Amino acid sequence: MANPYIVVEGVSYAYGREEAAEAPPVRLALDGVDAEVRRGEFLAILGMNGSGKSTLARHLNALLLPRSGRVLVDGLDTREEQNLWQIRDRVGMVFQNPDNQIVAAVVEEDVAFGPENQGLPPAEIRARVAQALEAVGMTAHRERSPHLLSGGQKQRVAIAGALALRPACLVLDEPTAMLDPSGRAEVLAVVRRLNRELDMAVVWITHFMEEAAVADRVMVMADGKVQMVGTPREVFSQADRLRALRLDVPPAVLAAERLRAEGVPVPETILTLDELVEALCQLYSRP
Amino acid sequence: MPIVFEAVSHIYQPGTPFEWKALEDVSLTIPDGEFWGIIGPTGSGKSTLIQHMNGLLRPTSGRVLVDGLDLSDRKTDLRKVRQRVGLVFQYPEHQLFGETIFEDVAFGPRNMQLDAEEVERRVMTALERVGLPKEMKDRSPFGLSGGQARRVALAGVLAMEPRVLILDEPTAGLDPQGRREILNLVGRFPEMGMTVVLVSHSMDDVAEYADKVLVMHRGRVHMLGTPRELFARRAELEAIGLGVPAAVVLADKLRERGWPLPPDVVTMDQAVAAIKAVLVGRKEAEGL
Repeated sequence: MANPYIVVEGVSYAYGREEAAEAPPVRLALDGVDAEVRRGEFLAILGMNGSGKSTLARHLNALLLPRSGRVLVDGLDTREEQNLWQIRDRVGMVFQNPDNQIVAAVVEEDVAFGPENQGLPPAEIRARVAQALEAVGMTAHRERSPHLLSGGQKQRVAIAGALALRPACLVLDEPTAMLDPSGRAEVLAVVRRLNRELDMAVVWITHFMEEAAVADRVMVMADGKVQMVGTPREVFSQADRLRALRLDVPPAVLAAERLRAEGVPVPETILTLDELVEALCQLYSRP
Repeated sequence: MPIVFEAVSHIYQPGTPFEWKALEDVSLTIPDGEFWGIIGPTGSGKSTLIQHMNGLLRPTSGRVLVDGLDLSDRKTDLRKVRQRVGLVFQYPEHQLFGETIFEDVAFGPRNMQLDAEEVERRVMTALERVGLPKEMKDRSPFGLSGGQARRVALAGVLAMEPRVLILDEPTAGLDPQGRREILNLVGRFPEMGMTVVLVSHSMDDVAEYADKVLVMHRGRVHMLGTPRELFARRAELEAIGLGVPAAVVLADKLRERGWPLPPDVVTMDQAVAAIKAVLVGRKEAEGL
């Protein structure tokens, strides 16, 4: 991993203008952030509301430019204007609210918007649109109007739109916040599969700890700074520190923690319910 | 003031190619002071259902009665109903507009033609109920954190002193602690005599707080019962794309491995207690 796909070096950022006169003095939304997105990895970013997660995400495809420091995407500096379109081709973005991302009156036209703008041949566009809709489970709705879809369905269309551009990295800013559990599980599974099959790096911003548990790496932000980075096991074994940052641990970690507090000796490395079940069964069968 | 649905159906855009039957033959009664959770896949009719509870939508057929008032009757004064039945939409902080938090929360009570003293009393009570310090009342509602802004929005509805509070996904987009804070807050409202109807995607939240859970599917009442009754029917829930709380999954996995756990494990606290009881029981059996 000597050569990460995206490198964030000492990036600071502050939003331009405070909306209220009596608001506190300008706060840095990002404060000297160093981070990297490795080729083909699944990186989850956690952090309380206002921690800087979304601001960082918007730096990854040059929607925001650092006030100081720099962001390199595949070696391209986001501050160089001539790099803009190359960067946007490489890094796709999906936001929390799909209503703000859908442009066309028919689902498949919406998904085709990006590839059409890239000037791809019609047959290639059709193939990509079909594949992207299949990947998000929206093939049956391809001829419907996006505005008649549910929130979860719209989000899947937005993800298909980003996928159709075949980005090397997909950044998703709380893509599941508005979905129901099956929609959430489905979108996560789809993105995780695409991450593996296409070797597409994924930056997955979420408030759901169990989603971060399936990531290759987890990064935790607070006050515009990176507070923790590591494997899910490394990060979620520090429950107290996470709670101090207004976060939590996945259900299995929580259960294991409470069991230990009750004197049941399950290991501190447990991350999933299956691991917890194994540990408990060992205790149960042991005389 | 119970909420009664009698064979309610609702059709969007009837007679057009977009005709959509969002509710079909829904009958139910929500008694006073209960905490109801409503769950269902996206598009199952949850939002349409709750919008019938304060007259934002009228049934295409059937009747909705709130405190005996027939909301399907065009002569019914819906303003009165809306003062009693408060509806908090998804992302309610998007609707904040006041120059100060006080002004924002006071909007509802002022519209009720209450005098200044009563408006002030209600605003301050509402802020206290949502756990916002009263010193914050003169601050702008913009630039607050997500959780705080949502509390202000919630206070705006509470200031009308509704008897029924309906919340559509009140924790969407909040960080885990913000989520727990809002739920703990809402969970106390029934003690104050309020009926609470919570639309949620989170089975864990519903398991923890709701007296009754209503499962909507394709516009119909699919299941209705206590969390324990419902989560015992896991296969049926999963068949329509819904999950069960993590504690139920854990208990099921252990039962498959031969653990004699009681059938009514719904929350993580219950799971932990049951697991401990089994291990302790085994140790004692071996000691004999």
